[in-house]
Amino acid sequence: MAPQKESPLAEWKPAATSAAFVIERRRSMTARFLAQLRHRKMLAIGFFFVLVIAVMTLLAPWLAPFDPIDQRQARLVGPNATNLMGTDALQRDVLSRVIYGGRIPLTVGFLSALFALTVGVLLGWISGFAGGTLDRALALVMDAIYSFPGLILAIVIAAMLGRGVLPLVIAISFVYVPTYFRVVRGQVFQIKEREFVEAARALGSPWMRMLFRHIAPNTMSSVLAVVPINIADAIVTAAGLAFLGLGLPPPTPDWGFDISNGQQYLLAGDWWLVTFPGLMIILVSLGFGMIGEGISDWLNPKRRRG
Amino acid sequence: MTRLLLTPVTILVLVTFVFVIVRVMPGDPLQAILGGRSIPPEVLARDRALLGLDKPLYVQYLNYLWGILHGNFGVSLITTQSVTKDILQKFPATLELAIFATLVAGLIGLGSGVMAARRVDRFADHAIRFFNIGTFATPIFWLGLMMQLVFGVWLHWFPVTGRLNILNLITFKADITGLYTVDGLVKGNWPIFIDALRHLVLPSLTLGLILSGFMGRVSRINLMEALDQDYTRTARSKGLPERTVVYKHALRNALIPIMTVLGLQFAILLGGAVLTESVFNWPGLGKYLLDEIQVRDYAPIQGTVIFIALFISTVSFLIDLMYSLVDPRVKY
Repeated sequence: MAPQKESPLAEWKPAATSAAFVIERRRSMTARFLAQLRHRKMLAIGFFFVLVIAVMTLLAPWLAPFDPIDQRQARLVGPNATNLMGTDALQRDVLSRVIYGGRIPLTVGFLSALFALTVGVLLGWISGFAGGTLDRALALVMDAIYSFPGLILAIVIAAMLGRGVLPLVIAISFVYVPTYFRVVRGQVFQIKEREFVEAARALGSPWMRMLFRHIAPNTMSSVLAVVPINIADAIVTAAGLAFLGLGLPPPTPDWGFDISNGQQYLLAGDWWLVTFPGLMIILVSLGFGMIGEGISDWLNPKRRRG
Repeated sequence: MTRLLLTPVTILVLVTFVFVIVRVMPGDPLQAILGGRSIPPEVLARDRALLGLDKPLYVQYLNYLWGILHGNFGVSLITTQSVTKDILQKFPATLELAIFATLVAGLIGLGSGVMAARRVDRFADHAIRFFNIGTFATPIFWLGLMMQLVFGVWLHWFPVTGRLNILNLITFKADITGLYTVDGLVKGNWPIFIDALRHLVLPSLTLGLILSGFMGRVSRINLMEALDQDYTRTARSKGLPERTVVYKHALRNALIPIMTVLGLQFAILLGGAVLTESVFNWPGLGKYLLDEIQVRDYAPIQGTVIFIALFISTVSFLIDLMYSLVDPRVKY
């Protein structure tokens, strides 16, 4: 993508008074970002949750008290001093599995968001810019996918593609492509009519330059609010697929799959197997969800007032 | 009306799509059915011809479309009866769950939305917003399991699996609508009605709670907008009581966009229903789909997906029709 004078971050400023606006401009982008964090509790808490989980997942080998697939613990013991979150039926430490268990869902969540973003945004640019029959056809296909339950689509695709990280990523990202497509296409339609595009056209810019230099960069800020929500949703969906046995094969620690393993012991009252991995999923998707909310507020400060 | 015209196109796109995923992806359907077992090649060839798998792909596609047009989705290898029959048998369970979950989501969503809109930026508003994000972040299967744990295992308040107690399941035939609550009522069989309701509590609460967050947020925004309009100010300055202003003047106008969202949400509801049915062992379409996916049985997977697409289109069409009830300006 061609460089642009102002990064999308610069557009995140709320409609401030002119004095505040001037002061804001002089500070570096990082300083502005941190200042915004302080002002937006939602964003800050979200970032904190995500940071905690990210650090935990990255440092898993140092943080986990035991090997997550080591089967030498007691069998099905509730939380105690040695095994803070208890042990499972295969004599493994639940805490260690919880710490390691974020690797798959987080990887799948990020990669599928990236996939969906790339494909959806590209198609949205092209469709919105080209217009005409191509646009109508693409929009129709996207609407059809969008109207169908994403989870069911992901289940069917994941089941057909087989087990592995890539099939999961494809299955989950597929569902989110239409969301990016719709957002970007709508933006392109609006921006296409603006004067600076008109001017570029009058100057005889080739279409590639018009699209990628003048139009595309201006669509990115609206996409930014979608990304964290997408990641949160993708992580929950990945957990759901793993829960249904469509994730990676055992004994890979995975929150969703560990929950489904714990399910059969739940009715006997062994609550710890299901509870803890689930809380981790909630924490991380809550984090991303709050970042998404924060960004939406930021982009559109009046939105909360209706 | 455009939506009505769009529906067949949408379904055609989805149907084609499912065909591509299921048939063109790596893996031979017949091999998948037979598993790793070694079968004599002549038997394999005969079965391929029987299933029409020996023909070129476009012929298979046309055959498949022709079958769908005639309501023929093939045969399930698990139940050994036609997929259409299977789907019609499983559908009432999903429908009953969906209806009760929508009731829960509507009550909690609309209620919390109205509460938040009347107290913008006060404590209740923030609490409700947090609840909304929470419902978005919570995996539905986990919520279902927690419900089972708390209300089933610990408190023993409600049954945790199935639609009826085993004994009732054997003696009672739901042959009118297939919805146990409705059939129980119609036949005047109170124990069945109560038993069905008790089984519905946890699954519909699980599904409904997850959906209520989104519903609440849409209600809040739309009601806030309506409360800001001139007609609301007029109603207030006439000296109408606040209740009347909110519920009769503002809420009624906010209902149309809320209903649109409810229609869109129906797809999310059916997706959530799959996981809910899996957790609560609820014998509906979602459970059926998952069982068939376990054995890679193609015909029922395709059939169920298409049926769900049809169902969603029907619901969104009905919601379009309902606009005219809420808003007399809309005419069909």
